[in-house]
Amino acid sequence: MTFLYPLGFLALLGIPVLILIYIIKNRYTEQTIASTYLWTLSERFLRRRIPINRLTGILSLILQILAVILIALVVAHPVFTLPGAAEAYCFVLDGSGSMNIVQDGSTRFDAGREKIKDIIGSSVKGSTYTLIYAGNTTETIFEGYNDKELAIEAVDELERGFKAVGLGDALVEAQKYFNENPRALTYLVTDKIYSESSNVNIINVNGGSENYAISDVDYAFKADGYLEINGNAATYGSAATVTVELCFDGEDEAYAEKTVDLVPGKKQAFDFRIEMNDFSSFELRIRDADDLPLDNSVTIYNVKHENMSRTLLVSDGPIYLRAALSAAGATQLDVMTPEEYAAYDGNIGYGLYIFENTVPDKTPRDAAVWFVNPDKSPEGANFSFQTDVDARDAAKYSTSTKTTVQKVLSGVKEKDFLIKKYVKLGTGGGDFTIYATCDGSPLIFSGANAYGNREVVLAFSMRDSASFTLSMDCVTLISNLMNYSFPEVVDATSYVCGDILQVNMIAGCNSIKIVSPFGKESYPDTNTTVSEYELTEVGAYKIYLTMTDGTEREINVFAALPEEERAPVAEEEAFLISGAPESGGLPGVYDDLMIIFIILAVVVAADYGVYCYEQYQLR
Amino acid sequence: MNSLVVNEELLGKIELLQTLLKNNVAGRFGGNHQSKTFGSSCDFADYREYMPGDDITKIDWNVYARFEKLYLKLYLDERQVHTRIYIDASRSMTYGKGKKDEQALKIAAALAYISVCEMDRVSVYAICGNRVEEVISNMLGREAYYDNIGKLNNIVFDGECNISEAILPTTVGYGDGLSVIISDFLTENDFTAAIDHLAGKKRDILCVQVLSREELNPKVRGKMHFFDSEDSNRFYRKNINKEIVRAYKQALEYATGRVRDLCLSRNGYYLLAPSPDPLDEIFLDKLVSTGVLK
Repeated sequence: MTFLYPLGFLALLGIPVLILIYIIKNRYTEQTIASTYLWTLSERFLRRRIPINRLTGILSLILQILAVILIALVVAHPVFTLPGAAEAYCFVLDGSGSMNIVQDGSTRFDAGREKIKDIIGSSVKGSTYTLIYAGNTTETIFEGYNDKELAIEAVDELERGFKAVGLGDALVEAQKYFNENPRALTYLVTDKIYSESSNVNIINVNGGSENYAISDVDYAFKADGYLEINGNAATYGSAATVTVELCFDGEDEAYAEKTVDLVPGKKQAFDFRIEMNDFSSFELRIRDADDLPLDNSVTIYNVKHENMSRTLLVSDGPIYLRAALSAAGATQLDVMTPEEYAAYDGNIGYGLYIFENTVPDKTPRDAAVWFVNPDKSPEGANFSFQTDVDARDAAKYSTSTKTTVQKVLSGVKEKDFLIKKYVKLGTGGGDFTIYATCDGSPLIFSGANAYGNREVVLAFSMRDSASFTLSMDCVTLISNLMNYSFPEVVDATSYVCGDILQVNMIAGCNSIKIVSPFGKESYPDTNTTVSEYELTEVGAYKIYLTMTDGTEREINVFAALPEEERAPVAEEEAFLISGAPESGGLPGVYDDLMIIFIILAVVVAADYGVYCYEQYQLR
Repeated sequence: MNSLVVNEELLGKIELLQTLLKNNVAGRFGGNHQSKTFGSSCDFADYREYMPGDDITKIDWNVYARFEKLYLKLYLDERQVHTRIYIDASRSMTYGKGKKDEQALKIAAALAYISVCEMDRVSVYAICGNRVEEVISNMLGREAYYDNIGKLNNIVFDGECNISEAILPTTVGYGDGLSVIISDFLTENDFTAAIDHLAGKKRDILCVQVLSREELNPKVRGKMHFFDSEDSNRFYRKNINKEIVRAYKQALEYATGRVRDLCLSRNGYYLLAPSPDPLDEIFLDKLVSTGVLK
């Protein structure tokens, strides 16, 4: 036995103090009275002599001395060593998506955590604890902890995973720990059934057996004005007939529903055909309850709606360009005259500014800018105005294989097009991409302006080039240029948990915040063109873009549970930790002060009892 | 030295009281106490046939006229008694808050006043140790009372007191009145012999036990070392608690009962006079209800 704080025995100095107090307190008060006759006579009438009456004083002193000794003992904190009683525990916790299956109100993951906490809680002090968690990533959460509370706290803080996770990496980690600690007791807490295992105690938390799921959801707008939605439903337990509901735009009430007969091990296709030419989002959900609700619904967000942004066209005659923009899909289009625009000062909150036949004094700082037929070079623009030129030859599209050129000219069918006049502009020393030229001069080109935003220049008048302006190529080109200058924030809105979400930085965006289905907030790097973010939860993610003008855009994407995590019962081949385990445990420690506290409480209570008895007797 | 102050108002209240003597009075002539023998008072008692040698002046001639026989007319006799008051002058009477000595002196003074009002002789004695000291001797009449009552202040309460040893050797008279012993009776010494002695002398006995409030209902608690005021070698050392106080009260009951029972068994009177209870209550209530006074 050792003591953590031997100086605690200084508290024993209280004993002589107690004895001194006892001696002082125990002095008899001397008093002369008329006669002691009656007092002496009273001795004959004492009913019985209770020993405690004589002992109350000394009993109280004994109890108080005992209390001081116990307090000294508590402060000194005795530690008993129990040879070989402790263990080195290594827990491997499966954090895959299937651990979210619910049984009796708690998930497999929670049940697994409780099992680990139970083992830690009931282990002998002096044991060490290591936890390898195969969640979104496989990592050793803690290694060699010898503090139960700390270990339990760390287990409590684990976040459940939703990805499809194999335990291969966890096995490697466990093997590494076993190699270093051959006496370690390894526990694998999982819902998988392993046909073979060695040097591991498998704790199976395989509860819950019924699961219905929706997968492979797709949609298409048909030429006849109908929206066609296709998907698959499946059961991973027993055969069942389920009802699939379709809800639009976040409504809870079902717009339509379908009954689907499900057979285990087979996906059953279903479809909805609805007269509709646009939607913001729809949700497909199975109405019937099962043990894993995560895969019972899928939400599809319309990519086009999610990426849409506001465009400002400044022009004194916007007929052609507005028609082309509308045809290209720019639904949030505002139009101003140059005079109206001049009334504004500074940023006015658009994602794209288009100046046709007019040029502001200063280039807007907060978004991408198009200059159509500019007659001068404004401050901040990255081109120089030279002169107006009559076109001698047809304008020609670039034949460059550069990715940007290919994207912008994608869908453009003609090789060249006719224009009457163009503006000869200098592209300066900037990094420009030219999409079309006329007489060797850049006619349609793009680059970055002085504020880092994308700048597109069309060096000809749309009004003077009606044959081009009214062509399909023009609409295609305008649409592609909008996509270039006004890039989509996300390329897709449907993902599977574990996928990487790519968030494109758009002009005028100050910050990006991603809120996960369980409310976790992340702020991807905005200094790169494309920010990557791993989707580790199941459900709808919200992406908030804060623009330089303070406005905020919200974009939604949905991450579904991986299909391989949907089966309630999954079998794995083996979890083998190689090596010969050594016998014998670690030295255990017993330093629980509870018994001393209990004895101390009893002693204090007894002393109080004696005091009360004494006071009762003195009433 | 005590300072006895005679309360004139009290004396006014008690002067009409009379002592009721149980024993046949054998005192001197001239008192107010009726004797069981025939005498010369104004109170008619009986007739008796004349016998030769009888005083012929006592013959009732009216009766002779009717019956032609000689009858003597008999009258009750009235005697003067001698009230003897013994005061315990031990130190226990003067120690503590109770002022038992003052109470004892007041009771003695009041009883003496009642007696002198009845034309009785009064003697007051102080019991000091084993002897009796005469403080007032054969006091008769109110004037003598006022002249002598102050002598009570000369009683010195000190030392021990042995009632029997003190009274037995003294002359107490035979059947001539009331003997009053005023004491706390808190002593192991014998006082039975004295009472028996007085009873044997056909004297009426009144034992007044004066106890202080603290003695009747002790408030003291805790670890106490009591010294006896009369003898420092006697002490009592205990943690005074509920149990002991209960035993004390039983002891008190035993001690008072012992005195009371002894008196009653000797055809005497007993009075417990807590100090400082007012004398009005003692004389007009307790002594009257006890039958000592009327």
